[in-house]
Order: sequence, then structure tokens, then C-alpha cells
Amino acid sequence: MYAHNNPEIDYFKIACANALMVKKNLQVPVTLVTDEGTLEWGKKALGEEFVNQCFEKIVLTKRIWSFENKRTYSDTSASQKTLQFYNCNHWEAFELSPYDETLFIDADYLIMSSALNNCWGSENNIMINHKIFTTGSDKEPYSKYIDDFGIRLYWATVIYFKKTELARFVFDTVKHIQENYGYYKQLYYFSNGMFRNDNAFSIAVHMLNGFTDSNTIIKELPITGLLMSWDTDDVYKVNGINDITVYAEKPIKSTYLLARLKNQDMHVMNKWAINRVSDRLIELYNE
Amino acid sequence: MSKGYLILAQNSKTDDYAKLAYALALSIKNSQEKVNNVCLATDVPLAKLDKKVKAVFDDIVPIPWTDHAQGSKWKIENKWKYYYMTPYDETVILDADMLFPSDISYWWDILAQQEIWITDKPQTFKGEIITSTKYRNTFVANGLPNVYTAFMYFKKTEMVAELFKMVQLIFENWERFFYNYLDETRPKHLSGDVAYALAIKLLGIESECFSNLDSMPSFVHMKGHLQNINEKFITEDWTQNIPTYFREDGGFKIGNYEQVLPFHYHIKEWLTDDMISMLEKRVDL
Repeated sequence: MYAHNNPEIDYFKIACANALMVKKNLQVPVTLVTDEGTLEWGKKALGEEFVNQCFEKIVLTKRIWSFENKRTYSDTSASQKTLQFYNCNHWEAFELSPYDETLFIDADYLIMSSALNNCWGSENNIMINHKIFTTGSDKEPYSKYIDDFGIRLYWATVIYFKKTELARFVFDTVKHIQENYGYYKQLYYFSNGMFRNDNAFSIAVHMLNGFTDSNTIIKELPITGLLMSWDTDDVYKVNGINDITVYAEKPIKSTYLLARLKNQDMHVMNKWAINRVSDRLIELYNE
Repeated sequence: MSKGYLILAQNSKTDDYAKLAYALALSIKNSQEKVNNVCLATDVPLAKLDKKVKAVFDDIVPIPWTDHAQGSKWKIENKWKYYYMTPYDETVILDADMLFPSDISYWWDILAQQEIWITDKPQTFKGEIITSTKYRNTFVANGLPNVYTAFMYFKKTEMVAELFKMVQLIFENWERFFYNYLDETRPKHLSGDVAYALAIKLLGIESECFSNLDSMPSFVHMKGHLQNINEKFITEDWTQNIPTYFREDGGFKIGNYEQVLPFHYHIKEWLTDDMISMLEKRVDL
């Protein structure tokens, strides 16, 4: 799991909450990759003992301050802010992971089931998902393709990998794409200027699948898909262990569907929404 | 059992189908390892055909009986004669404006399991099954099978002969058949796909002509508005919106997608002399 805070989003706290959820539901240890500033803040805010309880290992990386990556974050359709999104080091996960088999999980992909335990022992070297589903608006085609004319979008939200040459090749390709992002942006028609790991992994997977959408080399995770709660949604309430209720925005802006989800992992993209319920999550899962 | 591809090519006032068929034959020779016999059916006398054309085709046959497409704009009136033109026991019919970017020889063993097998699920350049029914109103309204004769396999059997006989009847009396059996969405001109679909429906042999397989037989159909892309962003002439990267090995990408299926480019100007030259080099012509 990665956590690099920005002035408003406490990714570290989200990662702590989710690490506890991983331990509860998957019964595996969690390694956190973070930077010194984020860690210091986290320890001050949450206490060193608690932080050490959440993570088996904390890997510190040097934050590259020259990396500029402005992202528009939404806290429902009613509120938007442009903030720094530090995500330039996900390709390092291959080297940094201390495990033979790793599940790379975005801090905001809340683990509320044991579904991902199906990955362990897989014959595949690396798995990443294109398939998603939603509770509200599906936001197609941009949730499925990186552009109308572009390739299939793979979500780098959850990646399973083993320490094999093929997996290393995928991460190396992502690094190469990141280093030459301007070129790939032109070639693959990104509409958005911000660096997205989703785009970089999508290109890498597309290349390794023979420049097709065939899934011949790189397979998808053994789950039905990633459940997406967009940043235009909100979390209404955490009802209990693996039990959450969200306001899912319908295709008509600012109209919502109330959806209660039990035992279902979910990518909650409204970071403020998770921050608002992270104390409750920590309280519930920190038994 | 002989196997091969059959291309019917008659030049119209606007399009040089013989040139397109030549390029297609080159691409078949370049890409198909096992089955690469190609037959040209044409109204051009053998003596008038270019040496290179004669060299690339394994068989060149005249159009049987009289040329029913004389004076016609679309030159499709002879499409019922495939059964009688082909020199092969097992034949795949192809439209001339196609290219083969990769080897599909392995399909033949699968195709041989049926007497006839017609494409009903063509794909976009991204490899998705086409969902648009924009040009298929008659098919939808009249419950016709979704026939695409641009890639159609058949053997010479009694049932297939019966189908072609029915197709002949429809071609020769298409206005009467379309009026009797189709609603007001019926085409105002002879359509090969509609005629074949109607024949299959009238004979009740839908289950003999198609399969549940999505991946084959199939081809990429490059009408712009069939690409599962919002019509706001793509024109009928897809070459205005999507680049082509053609390689010396005869393979090519459309946009960011490597093409692996037979490619029905539809826009005739897409095929350039450079592409033909590259293919000629590959097959030593």
C-alpha cells in the first residue's frame, strides 16, 4: 500500500484504516510505502504504537519535490479542489515489496471481503483489472477506455504480482512510460494531462498483450470486477464490520441512490469521504 | 479436399476492384501458412490481365453465364454465382476490399465442422463485437439473421446448393421478394447480405449457417459508425479520424490496435500503392 499525503488528503490515515481491514479480511501483513514527511505526520497524529500495529513494514522513499502532478479532487459534484497527487513511484512496488506474492492495493480500495485471497498461489505472474462495476453512474466510455479511440483502461487500483521476470517487465514498462509520458500521451490520446498509473499500466498491458485487448498474456484478477464509488459519490455511514452505506450519484448530477454494501470491496474515490469515516473504520477494525 | 479463397472483382465506374482483389491476394499469400489458394472471378478476359495478377492468383475464372452486373453501379448482381464459380471443395468468399494481416489457417479445421458458416458477429478495430444496427434496420425489423457475406465459408453439399438456388431466385426477382417478405425498411436496391439472409430465413436453416462462437469466423468491419464510438467523434470515412501504421511485414495497426482478423477497410482510398509495393516485396512479385 502507498501513502503520500498532500495538504488536504490524509492518505496515511486512510492507509492505516485499510491496513486494518486487510488484516481482518485477508489475514495477511501489510507493507506501507511512504515518505518521511507523511510518516512523521502520521505518527504524530495517530501514535507510533498504533502505526506499527497497522503495518508489518514501512518503506521510506525519497519524495521528489520537483514532481508536479495537479489533480482535480471532488468531494461529490458540489465541491472540487486542485491538489498535488504524488503517484510517480508505483512502478517501484516490484522492487520494494518484501513478499514473494504481493497484492498492490490503493489505500482507498477498502477491503471488506476475503475475495482477493483467491489470488494467492495463482499461476499468473501478474493480474490487473479492466472489469469494473458501479452502484450509480457507470461514466462510460471513460471508465472503460482511456479515450473514445483509445485502448482499454486497466485500473492500477489492485495489482497482484509475483517476483518473476514477466511481472518485473510490466513494472519496468510502466517506468519507461512514465519517463516518456509526453510521447505516450500523444500516441494514446490522453485527454487529461495528469500522470495516471491507470494509463501507464493500461499501455503496458496493451503492449504485452500484443497491442490488442486479448488478455492473452496479462490476465485479470479472479474477482467479478472492481466496485467503483466515484469521487462524485459520498459515504453516508459505516454500519459495522464490512457494512457500509454510500450515496451513489446517478447519471443525473447531484441525484443519488442510497446503496448499502456488505462484504464487498470498494474503491472509494472521494478521499474526503473516507477521511470523514476513517476514525470509525479504525475503531471497528482495530480489535 | 481442396480449399481456397474466392474473390469476385468487377471494376465499377468509381472503384478499381481488380486492384483491391490483387492486394488482398498478396496479403493472403503473405500471411496464410496452410491455406492460401486464391481464386479471382472476374469479367476481364485473361489476356488482358496484368502479369502480376496472373502470378498471384492460383485460379482465375470467368463469371459463369452472362454478366448480370453489366451497367450496374454496385456490381453485385453476380454474387449468387459463388457456388458455381469456385474451383474448390471448401471455399471462403471474401469481399475485395479486405486485407489479411495475420494467419488464420487454423480456422479451416473448425469451419469444416459445418457445411456453411457465415459471419454474423463482425468486430470493431478494437476487437469488440459490433453492436450498432445503424445499417441493419431491415435485418432488425424483419428478424433476418445478421449475415455478412464479406467472409463466408461453404462446402459443396446438397443443402448449400439449395441455399444458393434460393439466393439465385431472390437475386433475379429481388424487388418481388423484398416487397413480399420485408416491411417498409426494405432496401431500395439489391443487397447481397439481405438476399442471403432472406434465403436462409425462408429455408429455415439459420441454425446450420451460424454458430455461437464470437471470435470466428469474423472480420473487422471498418464502416466508421460501426466502431462502437460516439458518432460525434467519428465520421463515415474512418481514415479521417484513426491513423494507420502499416509495416513492411504486411501487418498493421489501426490506432493503437494491432489487427489480427481479416480487415474490411471499406474506404477504398485507404489502400495505397506503397502498401501494395510492400506486399509485393513480401511475396517476391
